[in-house]
Amino acid sequence: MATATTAPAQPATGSAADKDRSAFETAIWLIKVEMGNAGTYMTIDANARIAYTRQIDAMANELRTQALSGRITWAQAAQQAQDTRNVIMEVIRGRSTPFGRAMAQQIKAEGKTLNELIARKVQQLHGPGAQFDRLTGTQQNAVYAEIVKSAGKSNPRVTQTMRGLSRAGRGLIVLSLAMSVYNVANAQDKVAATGREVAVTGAGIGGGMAGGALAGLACGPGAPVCVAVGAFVGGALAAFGMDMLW
Amino acid sequence: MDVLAPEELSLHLLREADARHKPLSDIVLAGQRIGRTVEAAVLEAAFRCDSGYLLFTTDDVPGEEFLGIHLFSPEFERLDTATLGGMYSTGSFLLLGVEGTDTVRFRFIGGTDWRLKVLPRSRLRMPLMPEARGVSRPLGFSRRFEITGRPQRELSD
Repeated sequence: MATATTAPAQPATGSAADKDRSAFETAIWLIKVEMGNAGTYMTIDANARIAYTRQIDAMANELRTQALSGRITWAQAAQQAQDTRNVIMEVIRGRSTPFGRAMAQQIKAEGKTLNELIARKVQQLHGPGAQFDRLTGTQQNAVYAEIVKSAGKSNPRVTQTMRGLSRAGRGLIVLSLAMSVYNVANAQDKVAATGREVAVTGAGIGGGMAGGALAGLACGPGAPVCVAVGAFVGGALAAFGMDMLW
Repeated sequence: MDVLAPEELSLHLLREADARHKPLSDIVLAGQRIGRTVEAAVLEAAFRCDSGYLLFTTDDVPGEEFLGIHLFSPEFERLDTATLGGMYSTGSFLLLGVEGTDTVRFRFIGGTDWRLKVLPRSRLRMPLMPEARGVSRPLGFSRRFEITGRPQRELSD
């Protein structure tokens, strides 16, 4: 079992038992590499989500503070909230993995304009038939304030899913590390085994990112299945390559 | 299928959406709360159909809106539910029309006309296999309505 998580050499003899053992060891090795790969993907995307949730909340709070202190008008705060939120979303997409970006791009957005949001908030706050132009200045500011508040919200449906993925991703990374530790502990040359585990696992993760990105380029935006396949193949190839080099 | 006016069916918001909780609202039928809740903040449209009531709802998160679709029996037992949307994307509901006694056409996301057909009885479905991109449902093997559409992807970053 000492070599269970390193790419197995071809058996010296051609017996069925040796072939079975080799196939089993290869499968375990591949599972370890891909667990590290998938766990990293999940953790990066979950962390990007946490950053998004915090940044838009902070942005809305900052604009609210500025409007309350009179440094900007509530109308300016509402406009800036819309614009800044879109910028933050783009930045976070850039920080996501190729898979996360593909998920975000898989369906074209159809958002509301600021004027449509204003009309909707007026209906919600003052009932059907109410018109923004007929509201008092204070009432208009309250409508703008609601828009700023809404811009600071991230959808809990996504955030909850990402929270679960974060836990699952960390679990996969821990499992992958545990298999590496087991492998090192059972190796005769522990220093060499440690170097090999670090190099192969790192190559698997790096190859997964590169494979996902290349697949994203080949398949076009919004193709998460293609990116997932690319990440899996890229991770496996890079890990195999590093193992052979080592 | 009849479109219901706000006086006939509406939502009373109990809890707004935040980072940890989905929004929650009481269902109000003819001005009376009926003791049933739905995870939504805004009622976009409501219909009475042969199977009961069909509700289209959103979460009041304009930057990342999801459409909730809920089918209830005449006694307001939940028959089926689905959501339409995607992370870091958003939608805006527009009712296009009603066809016959069982079909609603609408727009929301993906630059496509969506069509929802209420089924006369439960039909088998494969869990984790959405009927269209952007549609998701709780884990299960049956459905009482089907959603069709051809959503477009974003062209580029």
